[in-house]
Amino acid sequence: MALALQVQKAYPNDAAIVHWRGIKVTDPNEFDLFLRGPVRARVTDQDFEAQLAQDLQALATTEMATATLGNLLKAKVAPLDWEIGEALAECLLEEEFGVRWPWNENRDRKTPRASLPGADLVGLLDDGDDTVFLFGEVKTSSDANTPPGVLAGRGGLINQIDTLAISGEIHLALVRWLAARCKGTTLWDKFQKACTRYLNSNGKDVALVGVLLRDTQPHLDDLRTRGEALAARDEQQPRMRLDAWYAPRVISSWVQITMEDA
Amino acid sequence: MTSWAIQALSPTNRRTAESVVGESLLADLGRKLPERPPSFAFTSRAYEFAVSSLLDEDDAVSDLREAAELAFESLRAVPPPHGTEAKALHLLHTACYGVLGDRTPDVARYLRSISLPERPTEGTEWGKQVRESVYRVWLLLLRKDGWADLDAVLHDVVSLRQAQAGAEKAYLDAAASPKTSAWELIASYHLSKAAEILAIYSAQGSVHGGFNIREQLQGQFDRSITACERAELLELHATIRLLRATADRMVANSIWTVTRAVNSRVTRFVSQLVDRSREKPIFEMLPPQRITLRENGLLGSGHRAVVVSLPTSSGKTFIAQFRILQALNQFDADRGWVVYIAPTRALVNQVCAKLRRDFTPLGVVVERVSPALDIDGVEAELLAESDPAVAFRVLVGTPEKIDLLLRGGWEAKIGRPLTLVVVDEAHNLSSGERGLKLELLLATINRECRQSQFLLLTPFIANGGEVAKWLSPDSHADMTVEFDWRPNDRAIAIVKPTKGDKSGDFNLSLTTMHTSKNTIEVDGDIVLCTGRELGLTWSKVNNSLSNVAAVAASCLNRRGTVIVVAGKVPHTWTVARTLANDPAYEDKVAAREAERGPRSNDDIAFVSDFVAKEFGTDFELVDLLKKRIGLHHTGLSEETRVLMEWLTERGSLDTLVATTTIAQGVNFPVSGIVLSAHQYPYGEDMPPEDFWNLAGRAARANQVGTGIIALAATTDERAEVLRTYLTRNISQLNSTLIAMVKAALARGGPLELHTLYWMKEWSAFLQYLAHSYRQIGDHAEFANQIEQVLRGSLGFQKLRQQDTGTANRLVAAVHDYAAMIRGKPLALVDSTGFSWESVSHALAGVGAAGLRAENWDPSSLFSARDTSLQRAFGVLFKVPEIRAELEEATGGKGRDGDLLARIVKDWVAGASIPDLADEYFTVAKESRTEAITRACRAVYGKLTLTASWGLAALQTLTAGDEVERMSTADRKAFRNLPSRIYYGVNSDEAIDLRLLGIPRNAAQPIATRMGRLGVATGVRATREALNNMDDAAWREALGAGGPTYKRAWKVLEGLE
Repeated sequence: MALALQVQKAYPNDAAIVHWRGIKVTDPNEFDLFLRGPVRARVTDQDFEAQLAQDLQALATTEMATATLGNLLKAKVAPLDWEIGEALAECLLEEEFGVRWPWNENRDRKTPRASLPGADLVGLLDDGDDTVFLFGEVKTSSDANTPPGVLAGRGGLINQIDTLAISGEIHLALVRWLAARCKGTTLWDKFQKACTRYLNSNGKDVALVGVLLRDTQPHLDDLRTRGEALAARDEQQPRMRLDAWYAPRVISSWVQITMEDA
Repeated sequence: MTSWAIQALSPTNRRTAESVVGESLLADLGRKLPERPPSFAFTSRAYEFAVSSLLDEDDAVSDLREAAELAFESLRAVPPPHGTEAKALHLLHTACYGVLGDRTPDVARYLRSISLPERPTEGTEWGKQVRESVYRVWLLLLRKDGWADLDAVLHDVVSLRQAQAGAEKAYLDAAASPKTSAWELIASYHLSKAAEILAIYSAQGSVHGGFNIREQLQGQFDRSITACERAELLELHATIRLLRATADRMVANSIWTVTRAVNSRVTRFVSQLVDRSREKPIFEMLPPQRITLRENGLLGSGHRAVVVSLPTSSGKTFIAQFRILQALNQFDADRGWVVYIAPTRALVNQVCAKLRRDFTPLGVVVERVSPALDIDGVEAELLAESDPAVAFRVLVGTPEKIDLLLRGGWEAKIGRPLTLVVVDEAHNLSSGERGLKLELLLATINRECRQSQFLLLTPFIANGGEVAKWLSPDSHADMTVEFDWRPNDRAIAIVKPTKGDKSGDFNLSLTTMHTSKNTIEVDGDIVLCTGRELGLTWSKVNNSLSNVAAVAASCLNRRGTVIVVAGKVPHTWTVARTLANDPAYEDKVAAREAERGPRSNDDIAFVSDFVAKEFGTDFELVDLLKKRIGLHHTGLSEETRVLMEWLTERGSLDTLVATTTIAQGVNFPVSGIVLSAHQYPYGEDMPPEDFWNLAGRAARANQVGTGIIALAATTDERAEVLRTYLTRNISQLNSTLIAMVKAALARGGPLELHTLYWMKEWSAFLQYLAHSYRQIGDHAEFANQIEQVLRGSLGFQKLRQQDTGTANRLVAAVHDYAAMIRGKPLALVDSTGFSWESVSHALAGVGAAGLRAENWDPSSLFSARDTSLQRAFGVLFKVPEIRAELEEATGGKGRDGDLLARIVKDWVAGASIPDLADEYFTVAKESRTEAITRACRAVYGKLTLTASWGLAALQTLTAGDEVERMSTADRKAFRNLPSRIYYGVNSDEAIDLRLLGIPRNAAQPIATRMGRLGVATGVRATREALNNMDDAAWREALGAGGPTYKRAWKVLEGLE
């Protein structure tokens, strides 16, 4: 699928390197349209209010009080920066690599802006005629330092991806979730293929992606240390890649742009 | 079929996981657990995933069961994590997998073996409090340990509602993601409501007047799942989907669901089973029960003949109870009755006690008939009872007795139709002469009892459908539970000694075996002991299977009671003595007490007191019992054996040493079985059905821990024999008739039936022919119907299919035989249980011996001067149906009518077993134990049944119609004479008491006391008087031993 944004590869220069890269989105207007289009669709749900009324009515059958919960859930709250970031990463991966997300098939079930525990991204990535699971983490940062602070440390992108690579517990949760969402949809075949590969390989044959979303000028050092280490791993499983996207709009404006005229 | 997800795993991973699971289940044998390979966690999660992927598929029942069972086993092998929430979730998931894997008894055991997380304390953060509460109520529901758990569920759900107002808002105000937290609360509230609904349904079968339990639950679960989806609560989502499927299965297992809309009697029965007054209320059916009664449709089935083929310990009797109630309801207007056929006296008593306990509150009278092959006066009264309030509706007995009863025309005398025949352990149809008798009995009932229906209960057999079809070609069903249900985990192992490092030392190791039954297999050997266990040296164990078995039992019995199965009676004593002579015995007792606290000695003291009273204080078993070693073989009285079973069931014994006969159907919960022999005393391999039946006793449904079945070997050759033995498959249920006919033809010459009567199985067949001939009543008509009569048997039907030539020869031989019995008084065949040939020889014999009706005088028959009995035995020694047993009754001294008459007279006069042993069964250079063993085998094993049968037969042959002309009292006394021999007492009053289960030594003294108090005679009055006797009354009758006998009676009758 073609990306609806004009981009420039910022780094590295070596075309053979595929495990890490920096990409600059060049046209601010296109970026705005992208936010207001697929990204906004991902973070909002028009039918939600009608369904909420039903949910609350059903809650009354439990003989628990419903007022506090009702008020809280009915209140409208604007999305947060990171929520826009995760939705943006999903849309970029979908458009560029054809990654399939379970919510593609189940729009109606999804509440706005829920966040998966264990991983920010879980989907299916085509690999020729075959399919593998794609698990990923997303970080959004305006930090002027390179690399930005969100990459390092326990809660940093690098560590999160490493954990995601080896944590069977997280895999089970994600795969189970994905299965439940794909069952009975057109994605089920792909899911089975990916899952078979996963089970055959003792949990190694998956694709992992770390996405760094920035509003700074592209800088090689944002990903270089970790990227070079990844390149040295060569064909080892699980497959890992790091993408840094450099947006033409400051992160603090994303919410506003996304929700404009909404 | 195996789910695609499990197929995607490498075989190595699966085998590794299986081994890890096996290691953990056998961890209590002392082997250090090897470190878990990293692949185990992965495989275990893959199993969990496989379950998850199958949850919503309607057509993947067996895939789901398999995956869930694997997930259950893997998770159970992992210690629960620390932390209340994590632990609760681990237990919850494990239990759910267990329920979906149809391993409910294991789930209950698992949850009872681990302390459940406590109720969250007040002030705990609301979100955490809700989660912990909800997990806990579901764990309680899954454990369902009596009413307390269900009550706790309802209590906790209400408490949660009450606590909400004060805690919820503050929690949400402080939450980092308030909306996510809100959705999580909503999901949990629905779960808590679902738990409440299920608890109410389990308790009373409806919820707020509604029976739509599934819809009510579904509503809550759907909302709960929606809430998880709204907030992408992955983990909770997975848990709820699992719980939804589990709850659905729990509803299916609920006794209310299984028995819904059958009839009011069944509903009343169920209400009573779940009643709060019951110590162990039954809320759920075991999976095979659910499958048989509901999914296979036994309840509500209109099939005339049904074979229910289930693994051992699936609760077959329970299944039969529902079918019985259904049959009683069906023929209520005619007051139809049901006969329950069980193979042994012990089982008859056990089943009767259970049915009485359960059915008496429903107003259904259950009676049993003794295995004695005559209908004595007491039984005749009981059978002919016409008062609807007390007349039996269910009759329990052995096949031979029921055969005698029905051939004797008792259905007509009872005056009500036989409506259902339940055959327990129906695989016995294949076993020799007894099997053939049972087969022909069923054929007879099928021909002659218009309303009869059949329910055959067997452990797994391959041809259930064929057997059901035999009994009813137009209306039959095979209700085999197709999957290999395991009531518990079992390992089958070979136990073998090897030479130790030091001189005289040895090691004893278990090697788990691969079997067809999904038993535990671990890599490598498990060393049970090293050194000189039981004080034995290498030279003493390396060629003695008995010693290997004793050592194995000694190593295994700290886990719970072990049964050692020995080939012959003397071997049981050897093993028991070896165990008792353990030099480390005191240390082991002390160690055990230190570990588990002191054990009560009451049961042991009571039984050893009983044994001392029966066999003398110097009888070896008395001291063995004090060391918690029991014995079970034909060298003991039936009553003693039942008490041994009772001690075993209560876990009071460490080891029970038995002969292979124990394989026949007694319900023993034990943690281990050690076989020093896998063959019956006559050298034949125990059939696989019997072996698996026995193996099924290891760690049964209500017993904790892994069952271990160890087969002793001393050499590699024997180990190989055992290995091969274990791979033998369960056979088809085949009639003995085919082999019998072929063997007769193989001997050459024409097939002349009248020359074959000396063989017991042929005698049974000839009696079947004579009975059918008599029923048809016309020679020409019988000749026309021969093919039909033969086709009534399973064997002939198969013979026709397999070998027409042989079948035709049999038909021709029956034609010839019919001509020979034409015009003969064949009623005597039915009333004696002898073939016509034996009857005619006996008739000649009694004539020659000068025996007539007046010889059977109750006042003199058993007196020393009277020679009638001596002459009678002289005649009976020539009757092939009983002569071998009568010879054995003399203790191997041959056909000595005089000796046998003296033994019988002493026995009837009240001589104790030690007295008889001293007088008749002592052989030079043999111990007293051996003499007593021989006396018991002769008296209990042969004399009581055979001599009483023989006497009854001769009474019939000599008395003719005179019996009918006797006064009622005289007739009763006359009919009771054989029972004096059977029960070993010398009065009709004592016979009444014996029939009611009073031990022999107590019967006469109590009868005397009752006579003194003027208690009316007859079973009903005696039963009432007995129930009113307190300890003091028993003491008054029997002296200091009164309370022991009272308790023995209660135990023997299944009242304690």
